[in-house]
Amino acid sequence: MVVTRLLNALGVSSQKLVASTFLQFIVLLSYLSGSVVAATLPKDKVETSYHYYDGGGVEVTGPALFVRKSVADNVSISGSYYVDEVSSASIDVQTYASPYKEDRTEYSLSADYIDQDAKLSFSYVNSDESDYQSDTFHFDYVEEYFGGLTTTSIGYSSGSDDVLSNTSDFSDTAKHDFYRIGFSQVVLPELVLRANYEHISDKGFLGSPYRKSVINGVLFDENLPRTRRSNALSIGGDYFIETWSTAIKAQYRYFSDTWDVKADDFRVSVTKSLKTHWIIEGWVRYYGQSSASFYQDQFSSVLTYRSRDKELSDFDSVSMGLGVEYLFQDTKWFKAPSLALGSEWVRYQYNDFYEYQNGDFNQNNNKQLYEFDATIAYVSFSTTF
Amino acid sequence: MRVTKLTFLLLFFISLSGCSQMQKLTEFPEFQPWVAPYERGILSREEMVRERHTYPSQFREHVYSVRGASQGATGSQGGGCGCN
Repeated sequence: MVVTRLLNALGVSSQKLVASTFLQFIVLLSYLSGSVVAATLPKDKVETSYHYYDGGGVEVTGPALFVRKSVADNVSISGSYYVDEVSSASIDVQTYASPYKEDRTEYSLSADYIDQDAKLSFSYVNSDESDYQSDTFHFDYVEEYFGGLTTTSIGYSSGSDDVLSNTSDFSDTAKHDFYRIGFSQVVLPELVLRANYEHISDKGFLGSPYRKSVINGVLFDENLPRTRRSNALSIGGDYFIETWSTAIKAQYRYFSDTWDVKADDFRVSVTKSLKTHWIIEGWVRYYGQSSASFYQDQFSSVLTYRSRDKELSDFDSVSMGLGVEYLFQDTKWFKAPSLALGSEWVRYQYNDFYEYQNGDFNQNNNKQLYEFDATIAYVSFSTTF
Repeated sequence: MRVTKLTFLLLFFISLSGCSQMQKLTEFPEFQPWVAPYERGILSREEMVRERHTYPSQFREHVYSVRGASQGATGSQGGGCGCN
């Protein structure tokens, strides 16, 4: 806190400080690292999966396909196709609109280029819904130092969205810029530590054309600020216990933004091999966030910025998941084929978002804090060739 | 914000250059990794590999970000969506 105030007094933003520090760090690494290791292209791969989500009146299912193929010694290209079939009767939809069904289709094209110890990646992602279209470009650069023990990454993404409405002629746009840096370090033969930082800048229409805020029991359109800046920092590590053939992976992420949302995200997973072909994985996650400064379940007066978006409210979430994977024998055509199945239970408990009986916002005596359980499930087949 | 963007771009292009010019100024003795290549078998064990199945973790990450107000610094990417 003292450091932040001092930096502000000197006119130095925390983002600039992080970027400058990372720049000096990369220069130092390049200066000290005499040995060059050869980066390798990601393997030619096919992955297909089917995903499922059911919770809070929303069901999402859909297939996904990913194919990657090298086209030269140092270039590979990949493409993916992903579908979300959404059926929604969420508490928001029940309050403000009618249950609906829609599809979201996402295509992506990527290219990876390697040169000695570095990899440059470029990708384009298009997401299409009846009321939301998005185009996003990603650039990422990864370089290894000290014989591959240290890895740094730097990346930038730019997204442009068109926001529409299926029930009116509403039309607006949003732009998103993502700046990220990452660092990983092999500390011991069985221990890798990681740190990632990302700054996100959002501009334009950042809400929903359907969602309402509630002022003294009456519904009004929500109104969100048209700018938002976010910072996220994660630290974590992977540790392998050889005697148990078990890997333990942990990660903590802290998030804050200019809307006053602060969030803690803590995850731990345990992965263990059983016999020769089976791998089992269990994981837990805790997530908690504070509400945005302009969020209220009910407003008592008309404020410029107002929202009743439960995703911007104060809530806690815990989840537990279990996955199994079977590793098949290599064949003439397929290398390391494997089938993975998994499921996760997620509990959401809202601390300032209420469910009103019969949707009547004047029934203050018949309201209760909202909570729901969700299930995530997947099946995935992957193979290299 | 403009300063941040310029710093970021500078950082990006210096990274790309690999700072090869600076390395030529002073020759350091070749670095010997403290974890030798033959000791890194553990890191490529099936239990430690993160990228074998990318979609399940991407989908879970997508659900987490859609059902909350935070995102970023998880190492995954995606396109925008109106998933509310």
